[in-house]
Amino acid sequence: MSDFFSLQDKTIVISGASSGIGKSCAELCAASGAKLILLGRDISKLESAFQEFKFKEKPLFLELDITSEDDVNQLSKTLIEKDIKISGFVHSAGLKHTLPLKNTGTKVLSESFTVNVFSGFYLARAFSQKKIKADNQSFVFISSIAGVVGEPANLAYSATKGALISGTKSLALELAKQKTRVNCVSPAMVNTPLSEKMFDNIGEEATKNILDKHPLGIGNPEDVAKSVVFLLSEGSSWITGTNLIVDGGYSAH
Amino acid sequence: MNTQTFLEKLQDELEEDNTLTLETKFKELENYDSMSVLSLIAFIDESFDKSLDTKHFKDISTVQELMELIGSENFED
Repeated sequence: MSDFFSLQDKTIVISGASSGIGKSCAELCAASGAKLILLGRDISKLESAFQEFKFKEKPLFLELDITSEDDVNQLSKTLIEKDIKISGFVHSAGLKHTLPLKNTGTKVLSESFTVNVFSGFYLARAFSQKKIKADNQSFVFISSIAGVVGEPANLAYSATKGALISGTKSLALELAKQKTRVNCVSPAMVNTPLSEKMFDNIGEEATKNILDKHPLGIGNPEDVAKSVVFLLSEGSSWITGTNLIVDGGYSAH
Repeated sequence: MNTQTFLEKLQDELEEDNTLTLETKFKELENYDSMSVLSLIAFIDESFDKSLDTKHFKDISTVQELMELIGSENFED
């Protein structure tokens, strides 16, 4: 039996790779044989995140502001010039504000949508171009269980993650004919710098409530990355437009 | 910011009908809950550029104590 879950000979781009789920995706994709292009706003932070990790082939680290259409257009030009074909893209860049409705205004909403949603769509647009796409292609947006079920003080974040889930379905239909599959992964709470910051913010009682809602406990970034590798691989060749929930049972209640 | 303005803004932020004083205890306020704490954190961040988290609120009970946490240098009187 061939190895359906290998990423050998595939070039995968990952946004938000310097920490948390994005970093874990990068490590697991590399271990599965992929060549990597890692995007970050701060290249030194990105490179230092992988100082300890032994890559068979060193990733291409690219510094760019993914919220800037100009920067993303420039990335397209670079890829075309270097004749690099993209097999997969993981949009893991994201930010989260834990704020009640009354404190959720233009600044918070705009920043959340720009980073969590718009940048992912700019990058998907770039990589789906004929000159850049590989024959078979897979995009994976890291959404969240908050895009499916509600949480107090989480309006901006959950709205952006819901937008990724619904946007994924339209993109999946639009890009199916060019053999680009588009899916979401929706994790519940995993141990990342973002979640640690949130636990600090919401306090012990609310933290305990969240922990109690995960039958399999809080996840690790690798738990999510494994599902991402599956969706990037040929093992998921007939899957598009879905939202794969990876939540330790959080939403089974 | 002077104390009076702070008390008024705080009252507005917490959506309280009654005037607040330095001695007002947060837990005795009608609308005070975990959302209020998040709201106060955002208010203090915006008004004083000071980042607090919910842990800080465990140790304070009155408005006076909140002002001490924010720092006397941030108040004109």
